[in-house]
Amino acid sequence: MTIDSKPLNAFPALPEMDRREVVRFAALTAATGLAGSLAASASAQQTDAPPRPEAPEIDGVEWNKAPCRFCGTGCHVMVGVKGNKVVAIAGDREADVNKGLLCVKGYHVGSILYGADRLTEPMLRKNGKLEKISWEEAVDIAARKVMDAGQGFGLYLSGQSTIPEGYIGQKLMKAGLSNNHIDANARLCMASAVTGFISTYGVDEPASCFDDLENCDVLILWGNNPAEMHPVLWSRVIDRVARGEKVKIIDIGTRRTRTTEHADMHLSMQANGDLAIANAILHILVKEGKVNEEFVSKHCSFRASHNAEGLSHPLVHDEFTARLAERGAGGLKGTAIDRKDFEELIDYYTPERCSEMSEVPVEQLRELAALFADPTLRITSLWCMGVNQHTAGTAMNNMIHNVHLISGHWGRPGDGPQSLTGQPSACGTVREVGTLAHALPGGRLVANDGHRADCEARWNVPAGRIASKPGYHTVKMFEQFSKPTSEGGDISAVWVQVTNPGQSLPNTKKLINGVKAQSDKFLIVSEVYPTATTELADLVLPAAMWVEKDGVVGNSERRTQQWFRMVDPPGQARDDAWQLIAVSRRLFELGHAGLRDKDGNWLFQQLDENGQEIEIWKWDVWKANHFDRNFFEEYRPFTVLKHKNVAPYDLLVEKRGMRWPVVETSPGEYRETRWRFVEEDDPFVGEGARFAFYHSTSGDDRAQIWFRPWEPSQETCEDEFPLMMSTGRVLEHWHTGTMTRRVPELARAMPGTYLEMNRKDAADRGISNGEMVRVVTKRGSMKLPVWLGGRAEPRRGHVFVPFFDEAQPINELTLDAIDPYSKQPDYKKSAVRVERLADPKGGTQ
Amino acid sequence: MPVSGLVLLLHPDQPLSPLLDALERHPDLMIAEPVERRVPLVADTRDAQHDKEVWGWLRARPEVLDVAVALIHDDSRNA
Repeated sequence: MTIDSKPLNAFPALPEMDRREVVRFAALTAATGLAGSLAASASAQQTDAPPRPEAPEIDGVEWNKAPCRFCGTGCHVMVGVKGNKVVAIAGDREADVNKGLLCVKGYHVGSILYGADRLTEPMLRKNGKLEKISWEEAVDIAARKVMDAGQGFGLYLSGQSTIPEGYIGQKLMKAGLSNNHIDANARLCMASAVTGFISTYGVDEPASCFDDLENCDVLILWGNNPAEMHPVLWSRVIDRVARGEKVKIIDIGTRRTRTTEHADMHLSMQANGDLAIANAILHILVKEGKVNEEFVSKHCSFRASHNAEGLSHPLVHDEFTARLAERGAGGLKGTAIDRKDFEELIDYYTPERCSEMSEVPVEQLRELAALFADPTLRITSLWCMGVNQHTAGTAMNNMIHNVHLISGHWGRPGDGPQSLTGQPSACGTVREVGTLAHALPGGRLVANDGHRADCEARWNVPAGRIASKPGYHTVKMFEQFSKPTSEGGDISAVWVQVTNPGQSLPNTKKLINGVKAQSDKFLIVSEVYPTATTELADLVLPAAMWVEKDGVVGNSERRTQQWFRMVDPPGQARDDAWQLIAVSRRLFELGHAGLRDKDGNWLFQQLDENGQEIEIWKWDVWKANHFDRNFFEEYRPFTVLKHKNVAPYDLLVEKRGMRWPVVETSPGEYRETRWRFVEEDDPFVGEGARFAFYHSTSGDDRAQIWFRPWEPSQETCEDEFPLMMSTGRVLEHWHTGTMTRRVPELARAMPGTYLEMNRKDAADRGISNGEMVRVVTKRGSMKLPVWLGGRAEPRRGHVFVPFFDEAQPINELTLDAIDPYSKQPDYKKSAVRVERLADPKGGTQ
Repeated sequence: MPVSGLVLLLHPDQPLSPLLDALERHPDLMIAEPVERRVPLVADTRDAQHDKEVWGWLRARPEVLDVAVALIHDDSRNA
């Protein structure tokens, strides 16, 4: 739980700590309350749970709610503040997401504020060194760089950006600068889920919710390890097991993990085997007459596309692919096919053939299919990066929806597909506000004339202000930034907020590391700690984080969550939203025409109740107010078009989040939606319809069942590189470790990265546990210690390396191939070899 | 000195009393009345290393399926 360490960071001390009894009592109260509320919610299924007790009482500590800073689960924590410092954290029993539970990272979330090396002053690189400058100078420099770069400027945001931050950035770029080169790091983690949802249902984001975890009979984990990545959701499942309930857990993946320990069945698959597994299920259901005819005939259509550019074609489908290509059926929308075509195509994917492709035994494929064939079961599928970070990520997302749709395991509590996100607002900010190169707020697209016109009207800017051509997606943006101008690299300045691409981008040497050597490129980074990205930056802007600022975020189950600033940021650190506002104002002052609306006013003008302009670009004014409400309420009407109606800000202040669509049932009374497209719960489904996919791409309220062929991965194992490497996360650290590595307990518990290897593969090479080895890919090499028989073990032929370690940035070696639709990179399939070193302690070669 | 409010989630098929006896005997733990198969407790430890040891001891018990965290208060590094 904690390890002795020097005070790199800590919760600041409460004075008068002789009150230990009080703290003990508070802890016991919290634990007893949690045990009770877990039991109550288990028996009441959340609907009529008894009132839960308040936060624990500790003298002088003021408690307020906030969603946890880390993953997409959206747990609420109670934050205890005393003397302008966070001094305690408790799980929030008012929150239905976590019911008072916290994971080890949430447990330490308060400590992330207090790392000793917080960035506290703006800095400009001069003669190779970062030197302190004033905010006035920093804002002016940033604005001039943005102005000079013109269409060569890119804004790179995050799934950790709050909704108001994302909205301001989106408006600045698309309505102000007429520049669509805005993207977010969520491109790296869930873009394929987006394209999967859109191509299946016509609209993004999960229709189901976390309540399914309490209602399912079967839980299928597609390349997903929630025991480490979404531990609180996992605890909700394990709590059911502890109560003696039967939940059949199916774990599909290339590694045995902590999740596998609880699984009833583990399908150990070859990397890239997932498409074959899903195709086998479809084949068996069709061949054995187990298609849910009523559901499919009323609510589904069939669809296919010819193979996307850049992917090799499986020979067996060449003829069909050619036919589709003739019909112009490429792209995300594809073309309608009939049931007979679908059945002919799926005929190829016999269990035996799919077993060869996936290396999963036929018996297991049949057993999995038999679960879907049983209409009495309730089946929930969970997935995250394992499916999304895939050159066939869109296809694999479609396949998960397919197996649920064709079997009718859809739309009942506990019965449906639920994708997870890794960041707290990948959904709320990136997917809903649309901080992506092709998107506009509320599910609109820059390429859609009507959508652009609608946004221009709402933003009161002249017609034609928003550019119609999508900007650069993440990989392309950094490719163009990293490439010398003389070689066509047309991005000259990038502003990064709330993320660390210097460590998280794939193939980082190619995509970003080269920027530092180029004098005509300029990198602005808003950050809280020094990172691999600030190492490359020309201008560093110190940022406030989490409860040092107001925020609104949206989690993986469509739940929008709000919190207020509770403590001051350190030194000169300031809110990311304010930084965008200040630079926007400076651009306006410098005469940038785009920063004026049709009436000549500044694009972000805020008026007080007397109609006087509020000087929100001044930090003291910003800090003294809560402008999140203004920007959220300005954004909220955008969400109606795609029926993603988010709740009013003031309601979110009262609640522990609400799941959209949130509709007003009577004046001042609102209700949330747990299951979308389901008549019983979704207010936009017509009476008697039972289910209606009302944004259907086929325009008939039907979801699309896609034919998606198995395709080989971009990189395959060969003699020189015989092992397949995936990268990922660990329980103790969050993403690139920027925050969690500042928490001594977490840093000591998991101090550095490692190479996880199958023990037989290691034995074949004479490699022993703890030995330093060299991992080599086509992109470079890195020395790492080997961990054998640890908390997880890959199947033979596969290795795994966590990417949290700044000292050993494994993404220097990962492949930068992307899914053709989502443009999401594949971090899970880089071919490698592992070499022993002359000195296995790693000192020499 | 860390103080943690924890809830042990127990295996449905393991007897409860040996675990409760062991918890009661542990000098650094204070337990409350179990709620079904959940045991609320407080771990009050002298320092971070000690805290880790207690945590490890809890996790190693065969009856324990999971350890949930309800509250952390830790001022030891600034004390």
